Amino acid sequence: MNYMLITNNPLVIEKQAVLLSNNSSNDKQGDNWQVCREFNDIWELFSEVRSLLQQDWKLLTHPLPANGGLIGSPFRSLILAYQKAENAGYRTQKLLDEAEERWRKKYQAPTEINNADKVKAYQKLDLWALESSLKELKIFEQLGGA
Amino acid sequence: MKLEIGEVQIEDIKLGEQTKIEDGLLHVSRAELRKLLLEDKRLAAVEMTVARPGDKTRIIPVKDVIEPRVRLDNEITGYPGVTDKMGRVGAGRTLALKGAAVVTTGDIVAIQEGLIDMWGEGAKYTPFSQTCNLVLTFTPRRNLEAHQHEEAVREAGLKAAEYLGKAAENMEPDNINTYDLPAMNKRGEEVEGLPRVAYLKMLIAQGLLHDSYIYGIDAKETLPTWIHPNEILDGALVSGNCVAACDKITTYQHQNNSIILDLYDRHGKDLNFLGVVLTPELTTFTGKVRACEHATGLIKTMGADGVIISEEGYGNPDSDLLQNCKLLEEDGIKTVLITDECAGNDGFSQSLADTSSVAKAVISTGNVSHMVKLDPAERVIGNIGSLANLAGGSGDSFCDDGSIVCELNAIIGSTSEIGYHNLTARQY
Repeated sequence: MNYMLITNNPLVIEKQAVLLSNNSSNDKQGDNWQVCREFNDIWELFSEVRSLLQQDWKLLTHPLPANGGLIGSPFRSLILAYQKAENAGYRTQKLLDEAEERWRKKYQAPTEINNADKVKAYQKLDLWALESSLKELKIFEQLGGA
Repeated sequence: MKLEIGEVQIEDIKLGEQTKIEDGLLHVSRAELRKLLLEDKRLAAVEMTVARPGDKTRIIPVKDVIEPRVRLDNEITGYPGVTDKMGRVGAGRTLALKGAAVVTTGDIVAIQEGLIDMWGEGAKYTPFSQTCNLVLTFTPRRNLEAHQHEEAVREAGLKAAEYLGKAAENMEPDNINTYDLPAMNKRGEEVEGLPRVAYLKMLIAQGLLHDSYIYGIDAKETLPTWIHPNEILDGALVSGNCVAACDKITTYQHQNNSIILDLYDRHGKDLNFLGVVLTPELTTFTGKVRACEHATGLIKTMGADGVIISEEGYGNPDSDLLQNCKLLEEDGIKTVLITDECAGNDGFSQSLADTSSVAKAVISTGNVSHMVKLDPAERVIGNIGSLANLAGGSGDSFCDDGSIVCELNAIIGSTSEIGYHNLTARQY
């Protein structure tokens, strides 16, 4: 399976090698991970995801976090897979639209956050959620159902 | 399975030399409790403060709230799998110190906590303005990672609640509530012909600081499971998350789950309460499929006619909520969804991030984005500056006169999706 990690989180970028070797299924023969990380801001990231969804990639992680405080965060990491299939009935394009709309209402650009602790918190919470997603995917792929 | 929860009414808390209860006054030995809590080498110091209803006191940033209790007929007196050994809870007698609560605070990760106002406008929005609170502010050892800090504070809060609960060990309760839900094949005529109703309880399970624990097991590592409601009322569920403070389900709220208590009230009268299914809210779509299919599969196997579904948090869990609803309704099982709304400051935005035409019975527990102005506090326990980082707060939250402006997002338990809160809807 071809996977893609899309992120603009510097902490994730720093740890990507460890993340993808320890927590993901990239040790399985035939799996291939790409990392897409060159974004000027989160809007470029969303735009790239939108474009990939048009090219038979599917979103494996939900575009929204579960935490109100993270909606509007300047950092986000998402996982996609290349597979010509519907995504279990989830309307991911619509969910992405909704996520982007909610992000616009709450967005804080990194330059607007003059609190280093808050910036670190955004990065860490995004990293931990990504780690959780990678663990979930590893289990499901081992079961043959990712 | 029969559980008796005896209520010992607490009117006030006083810090002193000895831990005991006299005439509704809970005396707490500061030294003994400090010694117990600092046995955990991850914690360097603990400050104890009492906050009473009506005090012009603001507690911030709040991590969890726990009701002090002691279990009498069980060798497990604490939280199984967390502060005590493993074993089943939910039967026998437990004493609860009603009117008292342990509140844990301390900056762990910016964004992640909430506030409690003990008086005025803010007090209207949180049920924990009505409890006499022993507030524990922890200082961690240096170099402790945030998730280790959270774990240490979580466990310390539970230990403190257990320690306080033991003060009631030899007391006669003021009142006893009995929760008796027999096995399906032991139910008699009283439930014959009544609609069979299950409760599907969704739990945040999305990674460090976004986890919930069932008998100490991280919920994201479990399949959805049936659980007797008494187990939840008796401490099997512990909160390890803080999504937004408004809809974080504190451990106290798990212990007093309003949906379970209401279903008990109506069991044998106009419904047959089948029990609870716990299901994790995961991060991946595959995870969501697994959890939703399995949880609703359990409910179908139980033969439910109707299901109450409560969410925790908002954002991606909205998709789980709607998927659960859809899978049940498509099979002819009626659903009622309980959720809060993220509808913008003006309340006009779409409330949920996902939708389904089959979701027809939806109870709102409030708009998380509703703005409130809270008066200046005479005393702040904790760090008021952390409001700038909380969900619902910002650098613009601080007014010149000392008052603050924030969304309900920032207030602990203000839009609780299990209904243990103060907001209601009235037609006018």
